[in-house]
Amino acid sequence: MPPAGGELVLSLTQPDPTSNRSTGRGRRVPVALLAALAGLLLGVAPPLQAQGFGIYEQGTCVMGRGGAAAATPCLDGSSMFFNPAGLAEVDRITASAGVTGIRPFGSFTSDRTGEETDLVEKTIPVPHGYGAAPLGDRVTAGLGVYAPYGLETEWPADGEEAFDGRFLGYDNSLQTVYVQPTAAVHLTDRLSVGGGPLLALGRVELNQRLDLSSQPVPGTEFTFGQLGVPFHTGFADANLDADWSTGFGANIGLRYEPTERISLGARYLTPVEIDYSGDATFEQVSTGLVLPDNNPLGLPGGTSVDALLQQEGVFDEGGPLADQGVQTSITMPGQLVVGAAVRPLPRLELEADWVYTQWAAFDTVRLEFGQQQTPDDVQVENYDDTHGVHAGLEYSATDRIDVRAGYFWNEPASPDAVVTPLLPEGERTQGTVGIGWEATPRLQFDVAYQFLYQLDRRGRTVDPPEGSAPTEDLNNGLYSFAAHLFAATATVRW
Amino acid sequence: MVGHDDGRSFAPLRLLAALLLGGFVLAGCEGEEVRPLEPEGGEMFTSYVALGNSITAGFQSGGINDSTQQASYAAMVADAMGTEFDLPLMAPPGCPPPLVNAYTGEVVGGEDAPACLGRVTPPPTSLNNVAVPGAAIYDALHITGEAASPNELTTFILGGRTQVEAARQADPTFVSVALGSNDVLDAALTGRTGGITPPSTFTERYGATLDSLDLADAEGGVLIGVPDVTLIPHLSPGGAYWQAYQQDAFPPNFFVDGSCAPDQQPAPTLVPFGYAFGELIATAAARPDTTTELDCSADLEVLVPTEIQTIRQTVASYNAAIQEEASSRDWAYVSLTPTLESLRAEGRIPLFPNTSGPEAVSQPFGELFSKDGIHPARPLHRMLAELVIEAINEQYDTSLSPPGS
Repeated sequence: MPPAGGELVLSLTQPDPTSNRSTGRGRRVPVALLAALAGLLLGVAPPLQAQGFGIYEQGTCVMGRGGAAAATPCLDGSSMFFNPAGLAEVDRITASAGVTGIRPFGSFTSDRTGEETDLVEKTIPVPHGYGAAPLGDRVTAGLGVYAPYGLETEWPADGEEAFDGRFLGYDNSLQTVYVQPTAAVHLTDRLSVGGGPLLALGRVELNQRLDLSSQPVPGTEFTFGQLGVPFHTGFADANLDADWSTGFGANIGLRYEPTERISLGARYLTPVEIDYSGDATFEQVSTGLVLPDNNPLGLPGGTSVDALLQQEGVFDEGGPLADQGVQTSITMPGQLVVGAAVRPLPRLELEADWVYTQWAAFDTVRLEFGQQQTPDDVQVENYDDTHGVHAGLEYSATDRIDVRAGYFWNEPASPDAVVTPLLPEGERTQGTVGIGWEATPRLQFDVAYQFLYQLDRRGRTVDPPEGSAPTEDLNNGLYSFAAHLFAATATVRW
Repeated sequence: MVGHDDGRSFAPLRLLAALLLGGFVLAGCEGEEVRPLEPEGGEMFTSYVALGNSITAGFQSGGINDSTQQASYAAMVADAMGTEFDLPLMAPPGCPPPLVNAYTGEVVGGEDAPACLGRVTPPPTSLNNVAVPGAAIYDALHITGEAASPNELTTFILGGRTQVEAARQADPTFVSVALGSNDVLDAALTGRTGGITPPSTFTERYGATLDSLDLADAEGGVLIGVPDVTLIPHLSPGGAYWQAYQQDAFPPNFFVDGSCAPDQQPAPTLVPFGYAFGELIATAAARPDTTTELDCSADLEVLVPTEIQTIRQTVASYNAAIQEEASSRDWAYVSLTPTLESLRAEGRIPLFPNTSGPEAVSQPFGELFSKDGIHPARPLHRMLAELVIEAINEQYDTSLSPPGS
């Protein structure tokens, strides 16, 4: 983070998952076929998919089938996210609302001490809602509200269990809500297109402990580190809170059914840049350090370093850590999805999507502080574009009950040198199950569960020296991460 | 991850997760791994922390910098353990810069060398050598107060902590403690024994230091006894000065009183180099019109036999207490004094400094001591490291190899 004329650091964070729902008719399927499908899906999953701080779970129906929905929409309106062209399949007034609860758990294990620090566990709700109505035989219009990007990570910052990575960030959240009016039209009986502009609303909050050792000693050319202050001596908490800011983009899609049993689909969600503006506040944290007698600063022995910082006005108005405005900009990546679905049996539908996410847009995060004496902070992220594969099936067990299962795989977006407490992501594989129940002709309930398994990944809890680029050599331990996801959606049709 | 779930999730969920992705997990797809520090010497040496004074810190030739620090016995012991050992490296030329010439006072970096540029940056993420030059036993737990004797290096090395606090923060699995020399050294260098820490006080402070260090819960340790400081080449027998005087080795206006002659004392006196050369001879050389004289019976700086005896008895008492602490903890104990006595007997610790020829500059106090005649040079650090390693191997049944082997 920032400080007294020294370095400022900042960043973002963490996890995510996926899915929604569909139509599905069919008949019972032999277990052997299911097994074969599973094997096929596993085999397909080459190292690919969207990740970073993306959230793909924008509908319970699709979530149950592993997030695959570009070619075959669920009729709950969620196609406004998964493929706007699919909205043309909605032939009744439809409203749905639901929530995905994400419960991540993870840890960092230090190479040096072998000690494991756990993420603070909490359940993070991610809501979604869609409303759609047919306008004649060929056109359907609707409004979707969903949250395709976000993250929340919290590590213990104080006490015996304080996490060493708190100096890179310990309690961070990024929330992004897309509001998307959408229209879809059947150009022919087999071809439909859809799309709509979107308004992105985003807020971000970052909390970081500041390290005194990298700060300049007031009135000298020394840093406190040169004066002997130990590495990672916390002296202040920085809170950066940017309230709801806006960005604009669009989501467009295409869907084609070459035969009654096969459908194809594609959609593109444009990148959205959100310029955040907020407040940076700094709160002093006790270092517990006391200057010895005969210290090189010539101050009386027993002078507390905390008092010295106060005396020098570090936190006062006009000081480098005075409360001030802060601005930053983050680009929500674009997503290109291409999918295919096949109905080998009347009651069984199989689908698969390939997802390409333009994470390379997330290259640096620059924090620009309002005061001149607080230098800007640039956090290098250098993310890579990612590929992912989603595959799922839906089987109509009865006329009113659909069962779903899915699997998907993501490659990591962050390079090896940028695996930090802010977003300790890695290659992920996820399994899903779900059920849809048509309680009445007008009311449907969907529930789904997903387990996210991330391959353990080496990462770091320290920043590179000032002026240096992060490298893999800084990695000093292992991040483990996983999550349970639960979703429920209620859909009403008239 | 399933493999890391320690029961915080509900059992049914764990079962479901295992069913969904169990095959994947069971296939061994667990990703990368922790790379624990695996010291070659054994797990006990995962985090070795050294407490001490100038010798442990790597102070040599009246100065300290990143080169001398890495030549300390503690760094050699860590090397033998095969463990990481992070030092509070002082930026060159040093703080203060070490002497290049003991007689002219020339230092590393020359005349314009800055007195101190502080620590090398960035600081290490952990600190294994927390020793501070000049630290007496009281300083292990205190950095302020009348009995404390901190200096600028106390700040530069510890940054506002005590040695024990810094040691505990490093989560030591093994510690070495080499404190006590400075509780008697000043008396040896100034001839004023009144400043010696009484053995009873030393014993109390040493015990308190180790009790506090025990809170770090180290698996093992080695306590290094206080060497007999009267054996350092900075102290020369009065008779050696008398002989040099007889051979006209000094400026003509510097005299050595007959009281320094070997046959005038019941036992040898000891003359500090800092007094004889640093004050008397330097004054004589600078002011040819005046005379200066070394008087072994009158000069307070000269250690007379009773004072020498007091110092040696004090060191022995200190070491008895240190040995007691070591045995009560089942820690190893090392004494450097027998080695110093042998080296002195073998003539490897000169009785009188080299004052002429190239050795006067390169090794004024022989190969084993640095250019201040007080602090060990690399070869003696190596000997001390060998003694420490031998003691550790014996106490803990380890097989650390001597440095450089």
